[in-house]
Amino acid sequence: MNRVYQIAKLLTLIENGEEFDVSDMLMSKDQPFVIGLTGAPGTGKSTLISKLVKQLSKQKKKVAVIANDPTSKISKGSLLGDRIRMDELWNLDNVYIRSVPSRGRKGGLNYFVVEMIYAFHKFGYSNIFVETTGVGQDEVEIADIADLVINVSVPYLGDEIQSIKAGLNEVTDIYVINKIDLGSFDAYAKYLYLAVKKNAWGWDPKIVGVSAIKNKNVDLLIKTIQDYVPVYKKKLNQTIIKRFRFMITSRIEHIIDTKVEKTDMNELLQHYIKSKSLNETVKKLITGIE
Amino acid sequence: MSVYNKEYERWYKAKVLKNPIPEKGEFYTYSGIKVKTVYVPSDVKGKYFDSIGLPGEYPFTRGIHPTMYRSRLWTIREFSGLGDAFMTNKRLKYLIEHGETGLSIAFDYPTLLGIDSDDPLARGEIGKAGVAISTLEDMRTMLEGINLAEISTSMTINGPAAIIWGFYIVTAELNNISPLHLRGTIQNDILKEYMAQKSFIFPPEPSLKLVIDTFEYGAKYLPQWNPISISGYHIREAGATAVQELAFTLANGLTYVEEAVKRGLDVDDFAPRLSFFFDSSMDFLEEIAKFRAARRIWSKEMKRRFKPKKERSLWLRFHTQTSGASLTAQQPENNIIRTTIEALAAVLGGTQSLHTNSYDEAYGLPTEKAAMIALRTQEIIAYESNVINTVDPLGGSYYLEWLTDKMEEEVYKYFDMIENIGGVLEGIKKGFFQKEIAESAYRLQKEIEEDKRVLVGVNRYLVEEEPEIKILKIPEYVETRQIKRVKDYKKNRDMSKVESSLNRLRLKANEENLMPYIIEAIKSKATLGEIVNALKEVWGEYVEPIIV
Amino acid sequence: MSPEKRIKILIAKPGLDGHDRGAKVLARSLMEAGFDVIYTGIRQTPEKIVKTAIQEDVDVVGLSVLSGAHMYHFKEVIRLLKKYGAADKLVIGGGIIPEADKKKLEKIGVAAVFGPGTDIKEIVEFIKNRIKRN
Repeated sequence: MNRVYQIAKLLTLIENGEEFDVSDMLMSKDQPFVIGLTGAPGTGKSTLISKLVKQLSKQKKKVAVIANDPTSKISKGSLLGDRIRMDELWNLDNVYIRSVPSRGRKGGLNYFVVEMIYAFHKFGYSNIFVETTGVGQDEVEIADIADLVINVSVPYLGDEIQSIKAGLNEVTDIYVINKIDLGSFDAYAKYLYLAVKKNAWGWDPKIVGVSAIKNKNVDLLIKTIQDYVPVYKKKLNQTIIKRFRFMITSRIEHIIDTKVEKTDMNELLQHYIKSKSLNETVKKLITGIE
Repeated sequence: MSVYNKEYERWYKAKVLKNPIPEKGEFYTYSGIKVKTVYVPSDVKGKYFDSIGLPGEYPFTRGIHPTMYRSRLWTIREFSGLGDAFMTNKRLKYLIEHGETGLSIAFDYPTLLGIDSDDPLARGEIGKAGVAISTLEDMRTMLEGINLAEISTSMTINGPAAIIWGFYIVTAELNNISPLHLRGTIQNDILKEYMAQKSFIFPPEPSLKLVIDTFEYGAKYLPQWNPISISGYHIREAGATAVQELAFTLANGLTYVEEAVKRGLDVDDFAPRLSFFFDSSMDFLEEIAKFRAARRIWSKEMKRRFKPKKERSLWLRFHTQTSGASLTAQQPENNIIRTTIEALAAVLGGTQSLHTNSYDEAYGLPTEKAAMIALRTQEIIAYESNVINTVDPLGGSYYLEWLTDKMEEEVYKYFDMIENIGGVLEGIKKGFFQKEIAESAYRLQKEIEEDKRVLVGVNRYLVEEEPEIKILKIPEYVETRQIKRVKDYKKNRDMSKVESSLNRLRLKANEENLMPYIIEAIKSKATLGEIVNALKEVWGEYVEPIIV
Repeated sequence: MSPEKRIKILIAKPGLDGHDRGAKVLARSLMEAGFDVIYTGIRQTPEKIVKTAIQEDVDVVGLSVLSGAHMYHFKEVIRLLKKYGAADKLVIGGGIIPEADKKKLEKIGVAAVFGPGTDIKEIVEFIKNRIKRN
């Protein structure tokens, strides 16, 4: 429990913007394996993660789940509910679930999600699932931090357009069709197949039908994930650069968003009207110097 | 435009708008229905005999019986059940001595979820919110010395209702009482558990199957028993409005009937035994309108959908309980007055039986004194107020008739929505009802905090010192005693008989009516938890979608 | 504590009762008040609640019990928090809890018990004050 306690506190520090040095870990050969899950609300992402994690944990792997939840724009509060759907994992010692509010960052992922990934990695949790909210831009952005992107959809949500939301087919490595126990998915699979794009590393994205709730084909999905490992290794250097880029840009965003949050906009407007220069105004916002 | 409308318009412009003291804004019922300054005859639409009529005749708006309380008062039924079987037995006997005409038994949470008292999950919960019943022996002890041929017993049990009913039937058999003479009700309304009270065990489909099993079994062997009490109470207490309570409850009721008819039961064989259970809360006239609308909608829909031959199949008979959620912890004696108003609404709405809450229920289980006052409240309404002198005394009130129509209209809007999402079961799985209820609960809380709704003693007319209330406590030894009883029961039996009866149950779970197999298992000394677990192996457990 | 840190609270229902109205209304109201709220639903065991509280590093654990079994479940949660070295978390409770039990619970380390009809603003203020002081 003591170690869990240490990670817990470390994650809180990171979440609050404290610096956490990951430079050595970025340069190391030993990298975490990060799986990002996208998909509209109601497609069963959490349940699927739960089943995947359970199987992996049986193989004595240490697994972490970072569940992103949206933050209310108005109150700035968040309601974090994903872990309830992973109820069967609560008593597994090698599994750690952490709910992370998006904090209103435009991209949808939390500002410090990469640092959190490396915090887990530092404590030996090297298989890490990142669950997106499934709304907004985080479904595409996830590719900036994950090694492998899984998109989850359900054939008859009546909203097939969703599954090929702009850009999504450029980042998805595995398409999971969930809830296949509830009906036929052939037509839908064919439809998806047409949308699939080969990625730059020569990987043909796979389509896997599962029923997470009935635990059907979850092993097949795990096998497909394992098939991906060579690709993961091939593109690792690039992934590290991407993650570093995310860390840098999101920290800049955090600084700016915090400044904007704390700035009296009326006052700033007065400054703009006086200076007549937007560049000047931005400079004042960031540096506080006129 | 009718003369009424014309006169109303004239009057409104001349008197209301020019009134030196303007109205304080707009007025709404607690369901959010906007209310006018006054109602006139033209506000009541529809033909008198089509929509209002006479008591004891279709559409039963004014009551299911022609003479109502002039012939027979409602049944005074106070909910009880606490600790273990011994304690409850004592309490039941006390209540019978003091004039109760029907027993009403509450069970503790482990029992409600089909968990035996000796299971670690039951720790801390045994006998706390009702009586713990894990075995046939528990049931026999609880009912010891009570003549089951003469009393009617209502049991508030849902998930494992079929099993608890089985305990009761076997107990009667051992006391040489024929099932033909048993009278009472099992709540057995699993659909509202998924929506509101959350004491579910299995997934909805097999749960529904088990409910229909009890309908079928009851129709054959226990003709005087109500195999279900279709309950709006818990839906309401979870935060729903009166309209939602009515709409969801009736939708559930129609779902059960549909399932039973699908099974091949003749609607006239079971519909007369269906009973309902509603809440009565603080919007006095809206509650009365709700009860009247309930009878009318039910008889109309039953007639339209299932074309029964017996008139009784069209009756909506109901039990009422005053609202626990309307009680406040602040200035608890005020709750006596709230309960009185709510009880009066139930009587004016034509209830068949009534439970009045004790004023201390915001603190815990009621004390004897508080339970007595609750009982006396009903007796004072019945014997002193003279509201029973005529049937449906408020019928014909322009406002009440308008409001009754309005409730009906709103209920049909929900019926359409439910149909559009694919019926009640789909709605449950999608969290539709849960979301509706949570929204209403949240809105109500906001209204209180923003002072839009006054609660005396809570956000208005506060007092500094709150009196200390005496509370009934379940002594610690009860848990230990009950665990030991269950363990002993399990030691003294032939395990091979238990196993084979449970095996048959597993085998037949999806095939046949399970009641005979449940009864067989009970006779072989299987416990509540063992029977439930056997069925869980076949059916699995339900996990609800989380809606906040 | 950094100025940006939001108060994180776990709202849980230990025990077997399913009356989640109060817990849900509270969860939503606290979110509206700017808290990070984790709601874990009904039928939670004390062990599960404590492990979740530690993993999520919440500041506050809010327990709601309406079955009358509050003494057992609250005591268990407090005991396990201590056992796992997380006694620093503020524990508050709600539900149908008699006055005498309230006092006992406060003695064993429950920071406050809120009964039916409590103004949620009062709960928000209480938490904010207590967390600030720490």
